[in-house]
Amino acid sequence: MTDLVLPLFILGVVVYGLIRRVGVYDAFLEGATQGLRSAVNVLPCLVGMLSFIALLVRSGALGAFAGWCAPALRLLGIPEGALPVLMVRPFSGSAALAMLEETFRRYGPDSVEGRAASVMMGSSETIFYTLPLYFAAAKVRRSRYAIPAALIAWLVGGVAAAWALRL
Amino acid sequence: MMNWIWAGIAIVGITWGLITGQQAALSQGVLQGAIDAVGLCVKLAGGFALWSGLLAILEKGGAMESLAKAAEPLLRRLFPGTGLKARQSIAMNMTANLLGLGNAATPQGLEAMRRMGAESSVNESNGAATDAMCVFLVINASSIQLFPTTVIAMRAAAGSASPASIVTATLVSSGISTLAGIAACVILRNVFWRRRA
Repeated sequence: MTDLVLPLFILGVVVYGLIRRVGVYDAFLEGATQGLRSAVNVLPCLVGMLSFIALLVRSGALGAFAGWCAPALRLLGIPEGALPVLMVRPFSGSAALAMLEETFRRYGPDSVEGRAASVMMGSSETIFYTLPLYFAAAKVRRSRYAIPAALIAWLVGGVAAAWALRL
Repeated sequence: MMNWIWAGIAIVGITWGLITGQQAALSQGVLQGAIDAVGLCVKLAGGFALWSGLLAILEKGGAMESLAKAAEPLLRRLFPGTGLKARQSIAMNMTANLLGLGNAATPQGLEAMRRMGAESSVNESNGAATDAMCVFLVINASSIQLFPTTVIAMRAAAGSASPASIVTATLVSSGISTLAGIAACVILRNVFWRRRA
């Protein structure tokens, strides 16, 4: 399905451009230049966040934190085996993928834990990467209530993930 | 706020690692993280350039204006105080996110933030995010996705009997979390972060 979306989208864009008499290649180059520029612009922020988050993961602090939160999250109906994915998700997409792989290996992809972890992985974003990145683009230094609100959305999403599978 | 979070991550991570005797993992990890960041940026750059280029064709053809116009009533309510240009980028970002085109969504999201920043008086207000920016970020952070492609691929690789069986649940839970995020924005804004106008 997704393998179809991409080629068709590209085909659609090119044909649309020709019909609307856009200089398709020139327009593409113009946009690509902007895209490269934004990739370079976000690099300092990526280095800053990913290197420090590695400290949090490698030191074991994140794992310990997940352990502390476990009892409360269990009360909310989130299976314990899916916890590592949920806890790591806001901090690091690749670490969460590694946790998901680990969950599959331990419980199997079709177990309650595996399915819940899958939904949690797909229904949230890496908050502590997206927010700094986007705010850097707007030169914002004070994020006000964006982080607490995003964390509330993440927690509600985690609980909803555990419940949505029971429908 | 970001200053505190960034410093806090370092202090907690390093202190914890030293107490538990993980200094080797710390020194290795922090450098590896920086290297990974550059690698990720290089990987992103190709996708950014490709998608920005394709979307520029659509923009030149006027498709973005029609799209933004169609979504205008909704966007104007969600993002008060933004200009038409910013809302066009927002509309493109949200469309790309829905289709699971993350690589296309991010450059548009950054462009939307840049435009919102240029429109508002961020610098005069001492670098504080506007209400529209906060809502936009929370919607992006709770990502509504029609096709969670990576997860489906991983489930298939792990030998799942039905890799795509989580699609509906993902859609439901991400929809609920997005609504909760928007509600949280409205509540927090009115209770704790009232703007001194």
